[in-house]
Amino acid sequence: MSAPEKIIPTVKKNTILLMLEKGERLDGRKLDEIRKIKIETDVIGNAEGSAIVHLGNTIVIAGVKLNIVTPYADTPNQGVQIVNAELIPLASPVFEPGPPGEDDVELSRVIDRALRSVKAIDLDKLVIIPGKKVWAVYIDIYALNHSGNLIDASMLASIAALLTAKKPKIELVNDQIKKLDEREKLPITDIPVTVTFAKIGDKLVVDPEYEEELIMDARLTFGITSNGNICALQKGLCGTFKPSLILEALEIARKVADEYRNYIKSFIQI
Amino acid sequence: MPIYIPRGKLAIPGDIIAEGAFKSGSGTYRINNRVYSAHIGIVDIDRENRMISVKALKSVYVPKKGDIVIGKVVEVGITSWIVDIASPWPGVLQIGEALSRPIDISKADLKKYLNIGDIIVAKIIEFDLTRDPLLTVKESKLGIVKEGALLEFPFYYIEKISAKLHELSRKLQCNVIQGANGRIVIVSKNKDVEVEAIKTISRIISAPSYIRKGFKPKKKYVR
Amino acid sequence: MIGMPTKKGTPIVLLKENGTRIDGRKPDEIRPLKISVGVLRNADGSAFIELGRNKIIVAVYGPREVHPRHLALPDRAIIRCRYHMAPFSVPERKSPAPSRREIELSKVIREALAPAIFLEKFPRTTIDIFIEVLQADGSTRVASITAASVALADAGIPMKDLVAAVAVGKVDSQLILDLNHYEDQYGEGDMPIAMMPSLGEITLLQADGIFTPSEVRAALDMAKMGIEKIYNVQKEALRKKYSSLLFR
Repeated sequence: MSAPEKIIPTVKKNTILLMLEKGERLDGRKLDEIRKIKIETDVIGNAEGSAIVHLGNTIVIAGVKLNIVTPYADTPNQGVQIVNAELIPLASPVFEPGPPGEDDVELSRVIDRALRSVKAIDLDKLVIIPGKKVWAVYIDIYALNHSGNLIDASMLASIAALLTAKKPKIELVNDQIKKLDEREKLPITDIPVTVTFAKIGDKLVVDPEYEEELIMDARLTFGITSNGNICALQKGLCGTFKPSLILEALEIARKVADEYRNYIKSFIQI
Repeated sequence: MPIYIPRGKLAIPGDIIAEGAFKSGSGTYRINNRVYSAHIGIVDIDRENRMISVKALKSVYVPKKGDIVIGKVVEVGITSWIVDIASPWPGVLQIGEALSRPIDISKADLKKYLNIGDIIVAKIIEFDLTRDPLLTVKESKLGIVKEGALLEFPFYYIEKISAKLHELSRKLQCNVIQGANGRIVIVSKNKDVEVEAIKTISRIISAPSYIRKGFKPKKKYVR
Repeated sequence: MIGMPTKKGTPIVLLKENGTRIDGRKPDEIRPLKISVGVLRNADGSAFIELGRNKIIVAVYGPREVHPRHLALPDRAIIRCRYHMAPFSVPERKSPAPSRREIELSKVIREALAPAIFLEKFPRTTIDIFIEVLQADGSTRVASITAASVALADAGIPMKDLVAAVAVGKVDSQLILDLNHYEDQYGEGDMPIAMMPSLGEITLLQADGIFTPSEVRAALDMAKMGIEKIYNVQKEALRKKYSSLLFR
């Protein structure tokens, strides 16, 4: 049927390679150009925060839920951050039903690290009763249509959902927690984004389409903080990179990160 | 014997098209005295033969004996290749239908002849739902496509644009191969001609005289 | 939760004295319903349904090859169905792992849709139906069935009829149509029903709670009325998409 293929036709692969040599891509983009982005927030009323991100034809939804939990023993004075991503078969014929596999878990952990490293969620401010009760922030990510670069789309959806999430205010009466009707924003201190490259031959393309991912030798993701520092790195697949290529990619990533962030700011009042 | 949905109108699965002494043609079914639609499609009523059918606007490609299809090799076996032909069933190309002379299968590596990802133009020589469709490439104009551009559309477009494709092929002096399964291959020595052909076909497909506004076909192409 | 009386200890009045329900509906009134067709590019057919505050997305893939192959049947297509609720779809976060409830619902939804499909036209293949509940507001299984049958038709799969579904519930000993979250949670009974309306055949019937024989009779009548309305919205959604692609 007309759905994406798991095997790319050889003639198509050759074309992509030939075009890359000339600095062109199948969909007409430049090598360092990202696809168009649309962000909708507050789409799920049952979630404290939510966002649907369209990155070209890729669609991802992220929902933020809040719970009051007992803190981890090693971080008694910090809130809890949990990221969970699922590549459900609804999103692509290449995803199989079943419990989360390596790819799902890798995706959630990259997003988790990017948020955690820069303390994007100020977990210190999510303590209710030190050592006893803290807020847990759950970020659940679901791919709805996989047309390449789920990492960047998931990161955008996560941060958009966090930025727009509303937390009930709390009142403590004799160590009894009372949730008030009044709501406040989550303590978000930074807007990290990820920028992902596909390495095809010796060329790097940013924000790869599905067909480019099918023929890529390696994948490289940078998490970039608001001030241009690195908050996560993830090399994927069995290809390799020379250090110089990594540094070259880093410079492009910093520029692209600003573009991603500008999109976020154009959809969300911060 | 009332007709509820006249000829040329849109029917949805479950719609009662007519009641009475009508025969149920393709895209319809009959229970008791009623002919129902089984598809989203356009009603056709042959008054002479009292036959009602529904021409689906979107449907699944079911291979037919004699169809020329454009396939993609997805598996290399010991005595055959498995070919994706954009249908619910994979095509099977047996050695005897691919190679002109017999080979020793204990020694030969079929990958040398056709490998995963290769595009072929093939003909359906057998299909009856009980087993997967059998293909051949042993006729003129059939075989591997080494170079060219591949376009994919829902298969039911092909007959609508077939005449235009012939015209295009003449005008641009390129070879346009139409697969009954919705794939089109364009081959020309001049790559610019291929690009021109792709653009023209995309224009034909999305032209308002063919399809009304608001309709975006899925399309993919190479070169 | 849009100003609903959720605080512990507050008795919830599901049916007011004037006969209206917690959300202001009459007992036999369904919630606002919207269906969009063809919302996912990768899928062969898809639909998005909003019924009250429910938001459910459905993708259909196939008919396609079955993997593993031993699951295939020689004389007809198989259907595989996965009903899943996103963790953020409910007020209290749900674990993403499939629950026993989701596994049962996947089965009954599959069995509610199967009678409508000409499975014998596609032997040895599978039709895969993936349902993701993005926001739940009661009656998700019937809303899923309603959306899935539209997605199947959108995939170009030949069908006898669409399947339209609704739940009948019971509050204060009175039957109500199309339960919302509160009526589902605090009501006395829930009877989800699916039908092929044009053929008048029931394809899903479940119930929990106590119903008298006459209530069952009345519930079936009430469901039939609701299903007619839902059926019209389904057809309208498909007509809207497909009449725009008529070749002139």
